[in-house]
Amino acid sequence: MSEVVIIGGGPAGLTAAWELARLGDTDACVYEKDDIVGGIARTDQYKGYRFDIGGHRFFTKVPVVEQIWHEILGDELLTRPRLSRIFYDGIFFDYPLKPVNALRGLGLIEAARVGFSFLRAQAFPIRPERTFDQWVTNRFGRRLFEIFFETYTEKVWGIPCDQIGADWAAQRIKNLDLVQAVKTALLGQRGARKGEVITTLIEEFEYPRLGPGQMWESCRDQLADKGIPTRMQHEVVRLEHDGARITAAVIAGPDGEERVPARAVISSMPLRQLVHAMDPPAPTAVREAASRLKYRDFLTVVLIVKDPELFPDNWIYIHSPEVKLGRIQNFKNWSPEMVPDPGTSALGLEYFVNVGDELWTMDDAELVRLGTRECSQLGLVDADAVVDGCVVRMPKAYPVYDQEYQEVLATLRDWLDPFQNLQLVGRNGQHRYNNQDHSMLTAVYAARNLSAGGAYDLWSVNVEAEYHEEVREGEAAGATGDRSIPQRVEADDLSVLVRQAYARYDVVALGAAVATVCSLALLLLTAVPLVRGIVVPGMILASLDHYIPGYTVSWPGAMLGAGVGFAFGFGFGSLLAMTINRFVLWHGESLLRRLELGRTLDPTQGAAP
Amino acid sequence: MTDETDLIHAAIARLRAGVMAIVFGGVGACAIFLATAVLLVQGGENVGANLGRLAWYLPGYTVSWPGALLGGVYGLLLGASVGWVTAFVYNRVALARER
Repeated sequence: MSEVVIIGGGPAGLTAAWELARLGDTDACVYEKDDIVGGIARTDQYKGYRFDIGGHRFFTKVPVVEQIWHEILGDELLTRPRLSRIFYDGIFFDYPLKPVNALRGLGLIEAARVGFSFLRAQAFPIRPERTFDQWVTNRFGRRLFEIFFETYTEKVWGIPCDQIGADWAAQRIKNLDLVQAVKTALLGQRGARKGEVITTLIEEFEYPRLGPGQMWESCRDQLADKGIPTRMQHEVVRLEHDGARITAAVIAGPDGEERVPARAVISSMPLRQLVHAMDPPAPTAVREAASRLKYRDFLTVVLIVKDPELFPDNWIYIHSPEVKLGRIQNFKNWSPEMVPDPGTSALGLEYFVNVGDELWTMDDAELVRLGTRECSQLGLVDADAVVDGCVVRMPKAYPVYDQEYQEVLATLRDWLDPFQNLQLVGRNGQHRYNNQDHSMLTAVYAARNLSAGGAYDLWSVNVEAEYHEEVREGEAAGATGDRSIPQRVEADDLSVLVRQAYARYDVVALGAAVATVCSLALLLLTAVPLVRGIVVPGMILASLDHYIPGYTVSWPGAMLGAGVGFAFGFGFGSLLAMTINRFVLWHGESLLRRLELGRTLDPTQGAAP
Repeated sequence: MTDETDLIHAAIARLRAGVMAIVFGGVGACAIFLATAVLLVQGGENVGANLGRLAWYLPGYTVSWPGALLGGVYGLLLGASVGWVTAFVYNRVALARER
């Protein structure tokens, strides 16, 4: 008898099973190759100390996901305060980055450098914008990129920022508008854009009392009661197919291999691994493409520290380039019950690595010493207070968005999509940097497609360009999970066409042009009489000092005049361009109104006047 | 958006240096010629005591009818230069910002 084969006991796989059970389709089984459920949302244990692989906040805008969390854990979900900061050069900065806080922390000189760098980026943005560093530099300036993005990003991904695609930045980085932020800081909410009043950053989140693993352990147990078992230490090693359907899965377990006929397959296993597991094998080009998918691996050094309260943060991003450490989790601040002895704290020091590299292969005891040394070096922990430690390694924690991954994904999907009974879900299943909630949503949709006649496109989940954490006024915190896809403008959308049909003046360029002319004019105005040796009567040119304090008919005066002329000219030119643009826009709007009126009055359009 | 509307949306106005030079030159020529001519038509004592100081910058200029014509030529050249430089700098900066 064939069954639904669910590959992987992480959030996606278990959620698929949960939704199938809800739909009454219990002829399914979850296969997990590890001896613990939860995937990277697991909770490991060491001498009673519980710790995550990374930190997993339970925050979502997707109602169905929130509902599932509460169905599984009920009152075991705690509401926890959130504090996360960036640590750089011995100073803590707010996270998410707040410009005023950042500039204050950096000091006057560095803040000035950041400011100039930001202005330069605004004046001369990099086009086309292809890579991560270009995306960030265009929005924040090069200097801010170097301080707050470059080091940490390269620690996480292990590749230079100019080799990471810009779309990853667009998806993961909140697009801080520095000008808007300063306006908001100075004017409060009056400075915010109309209709975009940011009411809160998410400063609380839900978290299972015993860590995220509790959620998935409980889910597994409840699924067993509902009739869907989870077979631990069972790895899907081959998927037999006939070119149109997956016909069976070959599972390797402690007792050897077994063949399970498959009615359908919901896979959260890494896409690369899935393609290589296909039997008969995928075409060479597809297998080669799959091999080009890259992953980033991860290890956590857990330090048990004889100190009840180290710092108030849930986690700290370590941007300091002098250490390899990328992030520190303070598990006690996630839930007090993660730590059995209230007189101690447990820290998770996160190192982003590649399987087989120096850190990955380092002896556990040496890694604990390294972590202790680096924490001490940063001044966050007294090395003598570290009483114990352990190490957990997690391969394929992050799919890497390099410049070829989209092309590779397209190749793989072209080959995999025709399989009628195969659905890919989750972070590694789709090679997409989904958070837990989006991974779960893909699984919910997959189950509904399978057992409720749904026609959900799993690849449309989490495709928004930006990842939103802030809640805006008028937006329900539990907005739809069917995150919208940017829509193309319809060709006959008159308003858009009219608005866009007017070329705008470049504000900076016109400012620069008028500045150049004004600067030259004031320079020559003074320089010509000086060169020609004309004695200028005091009342004429010198009266310019009414407008330019310090101006005299002299060479220093000529230079001063040129400088002031440039500044004035820039302001005037920019203002001129903005005014022209505004009038052009107004003209476009009035044209639009006339056109709309013409349409309304046109009987051939069938609209009554 | 479609590729076409993307292109339109990205369109930044360009200044045609030749046209700018002609327009600014015309305005400059008219300005100096008319400023001189008005004073000459009004007449009186010590005509154009202040405007005559333009000679510091425009050699040969006087507040007279020949001076008005010469001033017009100067105005044409100066205005054209201003228009051309403005367009040149604008286009260069706009192009650099697009890249």
